[in-house]
Amino acid sequence: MENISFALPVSGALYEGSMDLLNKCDLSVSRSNNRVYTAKIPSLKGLDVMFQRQSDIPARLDSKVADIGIVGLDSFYESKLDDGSSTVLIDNLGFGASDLVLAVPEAWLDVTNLVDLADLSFKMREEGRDLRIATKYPRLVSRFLNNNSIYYFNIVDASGGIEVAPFIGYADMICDITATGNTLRQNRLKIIDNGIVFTSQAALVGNIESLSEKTNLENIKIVIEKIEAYMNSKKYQRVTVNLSITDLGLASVDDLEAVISSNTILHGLKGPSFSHVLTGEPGSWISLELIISNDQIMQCVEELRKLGGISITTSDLDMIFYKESLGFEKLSEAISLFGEKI
Amino acid sequence: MNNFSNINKLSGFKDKFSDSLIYSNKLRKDFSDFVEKWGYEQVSTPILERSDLFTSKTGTSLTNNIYSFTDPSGVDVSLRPDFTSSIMRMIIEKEIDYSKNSIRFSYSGDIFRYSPNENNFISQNGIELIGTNNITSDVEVLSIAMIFSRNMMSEDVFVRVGHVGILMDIFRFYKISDRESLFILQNLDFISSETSIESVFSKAKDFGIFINDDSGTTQSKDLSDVEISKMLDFAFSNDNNFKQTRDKESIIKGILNNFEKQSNSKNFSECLSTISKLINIDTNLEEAISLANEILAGVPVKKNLSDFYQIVKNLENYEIDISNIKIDFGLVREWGYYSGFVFELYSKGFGEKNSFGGGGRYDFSSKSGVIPATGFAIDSEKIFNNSISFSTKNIKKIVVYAKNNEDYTLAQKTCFDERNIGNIVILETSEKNIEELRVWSKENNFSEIISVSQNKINRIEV
Repeated sequence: MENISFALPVSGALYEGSMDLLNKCDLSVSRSNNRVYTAKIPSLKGLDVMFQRQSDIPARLDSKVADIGIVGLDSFYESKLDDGSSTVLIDNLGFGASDLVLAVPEAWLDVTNLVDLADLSFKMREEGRDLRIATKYPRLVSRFLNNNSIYYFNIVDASGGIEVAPFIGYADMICDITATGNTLRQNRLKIIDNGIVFTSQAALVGNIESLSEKTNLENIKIVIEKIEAYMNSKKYQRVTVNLSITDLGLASVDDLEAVISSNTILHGLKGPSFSHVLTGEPGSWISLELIISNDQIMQCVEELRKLGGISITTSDLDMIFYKESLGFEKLSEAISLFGEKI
Repeated sequence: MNNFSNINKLSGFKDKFSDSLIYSNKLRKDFSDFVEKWGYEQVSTPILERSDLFTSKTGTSLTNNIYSFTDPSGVDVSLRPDFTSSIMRMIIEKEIDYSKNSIRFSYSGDIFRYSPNENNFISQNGIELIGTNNITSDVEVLSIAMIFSRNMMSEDVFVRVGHVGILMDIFRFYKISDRESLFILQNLDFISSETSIESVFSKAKDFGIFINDDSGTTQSKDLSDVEISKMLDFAFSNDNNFKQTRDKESIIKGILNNFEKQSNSKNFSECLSTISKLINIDTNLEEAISLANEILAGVPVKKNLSDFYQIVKNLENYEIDISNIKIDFGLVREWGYYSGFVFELYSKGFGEKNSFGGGGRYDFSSKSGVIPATGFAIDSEKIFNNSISFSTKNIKKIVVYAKNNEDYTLAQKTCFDERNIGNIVILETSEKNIEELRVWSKENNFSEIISVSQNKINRIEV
């Protein structure tokens, strides 16, 4: 049986993020040292890991050298073949967030948004030259500008230290990734309004064609399910609380259940679970455990306080598995459609 | 794991077989023979040029669909996306003088434009008439396009004509900015189909088109040049060593331009209304011009409108029935490229929206100034794909079959004779029997088998 090949970024924030994610998903990568570019995930037999520059990973997928990979969405959409079989399996791995932005020298007081940029491109055209934009992302930038009716520009392919391009003079402006905008500001560049070309973060990607040729997708299913379950778990917290039925003036746990049922905030992911608390104190105490979405935590705490809840604690979850894995279902469907197409 | 077998043809490209090649070669020859009689000399330019040639000229949606790469010597090069740029480059580079006598060139070959899910190459036959902005050159180019297409195909050929200069006159009159003009040109179909200007207006806003809501009034210039200069001094003062590619004057101009954008919702709305009426004109030449004159009363478009009328009317001098000319004031072709009279060729047999060629006046901008030019091209691939009865009917494909060695001499002589009268002939000496040969011949579009046996010839229709 042919092994599944999993491409991971070889260095940088995406490498760190990938390693961290896989560790948390119980899919730790065993790599003998940083100069070795292949590795294994001991918990998954039949899966080989290869470390590649993240900008090369889309090409490895398109050429079916790799079956799945972790890569920034910006690199993926910049480099993937239009008519290739690579696709995004999970588009939000929770790290590597960045924006690809258009930035102009701050001295360009006449250019604050895309409309001004369009006007400037016309003016430069009349003067016999095109607006030059330095970027590592020529395809994404060209598409974005065309979609915004800007056509008079030249892309200057550049990599590394792009911020200095207007200063040196090999480009008039730049389009580059930024997380905070600090580097741009330090280089006296400003992001123009509506100038976010692409919002990116790390994603799990795969080649449908190469995966369709595999006889056993069990390893892929485990990778997708665990990552998905981990990502699901980050949206929720486990909340526990102790409630006194007696203090609430209720006769039984059934009465408490009715109170909880009438309060949608306290339903959590799929209703709370109850257990008796042996306090040694008079009255009947119940411990309630709920899975609450992060954005409702404080509301939930308030509601529990109103019910006289004490010892309210929250804790992180490791994984949440739903009835089905949406990612794997999506992959299976894509493979099935690919089979029909050929 | 690896797949080294992915050497399949790129999507959007084609392998061509003899039927297509015979067709395109004949079209090429007929085309060059035809235009030669009008004084057009054949030229050939490199398929690969420096990328700057195309990126500095096109500037339309085409710019980013060019196949570009770095050659082994490190030069950025592109596959030609059109012939015009190369021909103009050749004229400038060779210092061919077009100022005294106009230059007439014809060309044939493939051009390459990336477009997902479509053909990425076009086999073009075309002409360029360079050096004159007289309407007679537009008439000549359109006449050649029409007469040749009809000779090659059928009387079903018709042409749609427009004039980009008229639209530009309207934009200037209403003081519509370049960006707003571009929006309108890109959305002419939408504008013509919408009865409500408000919905177009709303789309313009959705698209982020700048429209000053200060309806009906020109935005006042609040800052003087001196004040702007002071702002710039302040902007630059943080770091005097900081450089960028634009000088202060350019930025000042930009700021003034922002203040002086005189377009506003009222102007934009009136412009849309005028253009909407104009592009919905659908009648004969005389009435169309008359209606256009009414709609454009007050707009200084007289010259372009008169030129437009004269160009179409003059076709009659070449015995072209102008009732087959469809007036379409909304025809722009590649916006941002053509500047005057434009046309597109159609055949009723191909469907009324499937143009197989076209052209117009584009007036090429060069460092030494604007070079007046007009031209057209037809797409032989499109014609071939849609053609049912292309006139290769006099050429027969024949198999001459000789089973025995003693029949070879007569078989070879027969091949020689048949080729001399223009037929395509292959000599078959395999062990096939005649029935197998008939099946094979049919599959390969041969129309006749000439069987040679014992010094006798037997002709068999396939």
